[in-house]
Amino acid sequence: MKKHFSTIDTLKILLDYPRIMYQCIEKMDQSNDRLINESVLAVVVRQHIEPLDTIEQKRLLSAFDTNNLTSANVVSDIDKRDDGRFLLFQESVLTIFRLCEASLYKEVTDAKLKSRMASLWDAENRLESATFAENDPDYIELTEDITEQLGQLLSLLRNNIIAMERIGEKLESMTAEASRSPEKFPQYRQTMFEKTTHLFDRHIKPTLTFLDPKVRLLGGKSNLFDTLKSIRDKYRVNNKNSVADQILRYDISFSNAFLPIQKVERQVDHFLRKTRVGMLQYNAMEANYQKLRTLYNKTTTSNLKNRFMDASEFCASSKFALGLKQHTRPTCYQFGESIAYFENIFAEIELRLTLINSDHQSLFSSDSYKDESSGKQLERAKILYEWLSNQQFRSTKDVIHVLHNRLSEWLEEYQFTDLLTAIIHLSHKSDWEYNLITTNQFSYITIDDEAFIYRRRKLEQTVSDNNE
Amino acid sequence: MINLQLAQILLNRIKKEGSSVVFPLVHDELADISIDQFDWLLPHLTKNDFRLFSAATYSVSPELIRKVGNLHEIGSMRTSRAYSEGRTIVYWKGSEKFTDTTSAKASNVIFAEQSELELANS
Amino acid sequence: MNDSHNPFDKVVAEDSAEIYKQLTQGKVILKQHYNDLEHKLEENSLYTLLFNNSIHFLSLYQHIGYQLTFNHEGSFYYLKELHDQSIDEADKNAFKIQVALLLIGKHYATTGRNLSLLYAQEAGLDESDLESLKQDHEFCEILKAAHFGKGWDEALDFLTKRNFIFQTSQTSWFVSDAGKAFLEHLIEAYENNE
Repeated sequence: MKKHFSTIDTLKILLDYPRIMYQCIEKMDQSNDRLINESVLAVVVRQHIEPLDTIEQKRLLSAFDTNNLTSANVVSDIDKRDDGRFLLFQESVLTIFRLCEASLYKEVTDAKLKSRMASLWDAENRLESATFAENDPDYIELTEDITEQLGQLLSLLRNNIIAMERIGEKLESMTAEASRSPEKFPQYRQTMFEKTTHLFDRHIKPTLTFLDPKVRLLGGKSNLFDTLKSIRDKYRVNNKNSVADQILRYDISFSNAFLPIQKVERQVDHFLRKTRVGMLQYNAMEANYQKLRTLYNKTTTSNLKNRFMDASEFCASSKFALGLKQHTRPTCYQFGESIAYFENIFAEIELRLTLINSDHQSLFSSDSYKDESSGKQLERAKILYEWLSNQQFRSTKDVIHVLHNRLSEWLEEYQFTDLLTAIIHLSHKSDWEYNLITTNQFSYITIDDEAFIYRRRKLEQTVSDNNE
Repeated sequence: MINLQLAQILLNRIKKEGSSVVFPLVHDELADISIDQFDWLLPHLTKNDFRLFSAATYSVSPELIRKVGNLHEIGSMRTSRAYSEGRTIVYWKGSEKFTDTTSAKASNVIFAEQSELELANS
Repeated sequence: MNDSHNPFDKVVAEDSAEIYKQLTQGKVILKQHYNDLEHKLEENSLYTLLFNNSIHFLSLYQHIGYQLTFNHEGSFYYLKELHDQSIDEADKNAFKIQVALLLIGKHYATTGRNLSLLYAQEAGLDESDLESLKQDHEFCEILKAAHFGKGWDEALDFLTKRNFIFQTSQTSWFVSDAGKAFLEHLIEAYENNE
């Protein structure tokens, strides 16, 4: 007897090789059958295990063995028909695989929506005679039923919207050939029109109508939103506010679903009106977008290395602007030879040496930067003044910028107020050989997200260079 | 402060619906107001459609300058070629200010073309 | 062989330097360039210079290690490295350009407009387009995976800097001939079922 796996282990194996289930579901959808032929499944499995090693092959064969699937309850029933044994997979299992492969989403049809509506009306009726008593199990069950129905309806609609948003793909595949050929286009146009309208009618329109708050359903019955409101009101009247609120939240979620569907509707509408060239452009964009999408999907795998898309294949096929990039320009050196040039260098070196030597550890007792009590502020200002008096300066066009750079390197929790303090202090300094001149040219500096737009102040020497 | 509120109430009565009126609130010697009042005062004024317009000497606290946000240091802009004794101040082109990085970057475009006009300290 | 004329003499040094500056910034040099101040497209004198002295320039850039490349469909010049050492980065850049342009093209086609409007100065992309582009979750995810960490602002900036799109106002752009060449190339390839 072949090995049997537990339900969870069976599922794990199925999920490890999802393409097998995807293919089966596709076949089932195509033949509109909820069951799959046992031998068809076997063929699909064999196709997929071919490239694997022996041990792995055995594992898969065991997992997909009908007895295993049945004992793990992944398959719930076997139907003996004339042309073979047909397996009924658990709906929940199929739903998971549909969830993972967007192209397998089943769209909501008119019939499905109508039946959902009917269930809701039924629930509403039962509410009429409900006791609304917390100790009444019938009432509790009814409330649970209603919230469950709403939850299911919401996921159904969400999946539907995702499927509908891929409408571009469908349109492209329907019209690809026609859009490429100017001769075929006019004949195909009628067919295309019919196909698109059919698509629209069967799948988009029902959902659109269902979610349109202004639509009245046939027979004068109330639509989704009216029904929800009526149910909600019943709960409120009976003081069951938390349930009423929950239903309101569903109401809002349904309303929000309306807009994306409208967007899809507009897309289809535009498409129908296109000329052949327009359609060609649309299809070309769509086809290439799908290529990009495939690349993108690779980055969403659990392999952490794949955060970014792989450029090479895409570029190789499109061959556009290959090799285009920014290049570094040669670095320029401004070597000088004059005496003034060398003196400048020496002055700069000296300056930097003094700066390094005079940097102290933090002198502040605690967070004096944010403590606005004057005592602490005074302490900080004093230390700033002392530092300033020890600073060496050179002629510069923007002394504020210089101060900013130096302070941000040295001062703990440096803020613009410190810079202001320093500038004000400097502008009153008289015991040095510089003049502080305010120009009318603006610049700005930033600390985090705060910016200080200021007038540039020049520092000019009052005595000539070669003194002292 | 009470007068501010009263003025605001009266204004609201005569103002046309949908229009907005903003008043400058002129206050001489800003240092008279204690600094811890400002965290409340400035937003309160703005909300009531007043804009603070004040003067201060160099003794004003840098923290206060930052809180108010816009600074015109008029005394620093003097020309040595005044047309009249005592009229040495030449000031134009707007305030120095504290703002957010995005606005600063946007206004940087204006900085691109600035003319060189030097003013000498007296 | 004695060249009585130094080919360098035929070209104004300043213009050549300007061409070099633009090409090394990763820009393409287009036949028609958008003049920001005059708000119109005009003939690009640098392109004309390149075109009329193409042999000289080809040789010049070859000597510095670049291959001056001309794209026929879009009538633009750009630089490629002669020896493809850093092909990875170069491919990445080409990819970024293509991704950004493709998304823009897709958006345009999906919203019912003919792409010829995208290339027109008076039409192109406007504020509401930018809004829609930013709101499309999948587009934004794709941009991130294409190394545009900061999304659409970064992507549009990237394309503008390299002259694939031109910006006509704070919130409007139109696609240049270079960008057009790419999109038309895609359409043609699709049409021929490649």
